[in-house]
Amino acid sequence: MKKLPILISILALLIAVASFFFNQNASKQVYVDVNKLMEGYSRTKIVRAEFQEKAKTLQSNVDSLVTNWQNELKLYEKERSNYSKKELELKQELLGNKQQQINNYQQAIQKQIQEEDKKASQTVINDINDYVKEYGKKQRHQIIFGASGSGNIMYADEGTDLTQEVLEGLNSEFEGK
Amino acid sequence: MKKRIYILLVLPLLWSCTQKTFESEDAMWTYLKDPSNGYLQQKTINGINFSIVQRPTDLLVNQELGDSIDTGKIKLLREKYSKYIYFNLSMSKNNQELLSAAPKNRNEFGAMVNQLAFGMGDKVHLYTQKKDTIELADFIYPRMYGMSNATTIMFVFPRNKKELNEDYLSFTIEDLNLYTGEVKFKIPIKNIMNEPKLDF
Repeated sequence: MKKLPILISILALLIAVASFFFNQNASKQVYVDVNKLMEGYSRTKIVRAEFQEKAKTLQSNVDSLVTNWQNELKLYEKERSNYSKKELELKQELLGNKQQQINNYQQAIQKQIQEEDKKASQTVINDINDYVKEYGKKQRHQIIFGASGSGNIMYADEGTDLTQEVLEGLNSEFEGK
Repeated sequence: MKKRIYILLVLPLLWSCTQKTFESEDAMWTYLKDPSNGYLQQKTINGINFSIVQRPTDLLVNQELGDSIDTGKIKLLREKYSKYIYFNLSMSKNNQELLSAAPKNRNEFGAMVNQLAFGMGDKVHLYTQKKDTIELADFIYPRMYGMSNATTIMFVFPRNKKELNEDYLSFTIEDLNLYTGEVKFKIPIKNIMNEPKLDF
């Protein structure tokens, strides 16, 4: 019966020591290099390759339309001496209209490519944000800074850089390991 | 004395593993809608609010049961509905339904109606940590015609025990042309295995 207070005091001491180390880790200010995470994340390469494939298909549609129009222009240049004045005017109008349509289409495609790029990048950013948030909670960090190489973190001790650790975790989660 | 200390230490652990039981549907919803309990998760990306809540089997049982409390029927309905896992996904912009806030013209509105009513099966995925996909059984999108403050869709997936032996499932929503990228929620398996119940 007399041993109980001793047991409780040992337990309290252990808890105090554990919480001291626990809180010390939590208060440490740490950071990750966002650019390195983006570059090193396995999904970035996959998403980028998918985007490039899409962009290539869209661009090749524009290219084939432009080539078609150029061929028509060449034919017009070659045969213009055979046309009457009215035929010439009509042909010029047709070529002009077609050129305008191709320009509009080209602009729309450029916009679509930009939008696809934005969507692809956002997917990668979402993954990184989610993982860093979860990592921070698990490791009980009070704050994790995101350095992007534009001078928002001027100096940091090497020990505060979590990029590699986070990157490894991020990749192994993505690869389903 | 030692025994008592062990009991005191083990009791909270056992308590945390027990299934929660609620007297009413409202009480259960209050519990489910508290993010600290892990059934509701929320995210805001590019101005679009996403929230997902797991809908326990008993809520569906209660819905079908209505006012009649028949023990035999409860058992039958529990068996029927427990074969699946249910999630309510809500999406909103400026506290409005997506259809009221996101489309900029008639074409975009039409495309989004089509997407929400028929195409969500291609956009939403549930998979295990080992990347095994759990095939979507069904989804229901009730049109609210602007009367709600979020677009809510219920997704139904089969409950296969062999797929529920890890820590979490990933629930993803592909970009619905809202520039959100793919949005992911991690659904803890312990919440699926240990669903709250209604005390009928």
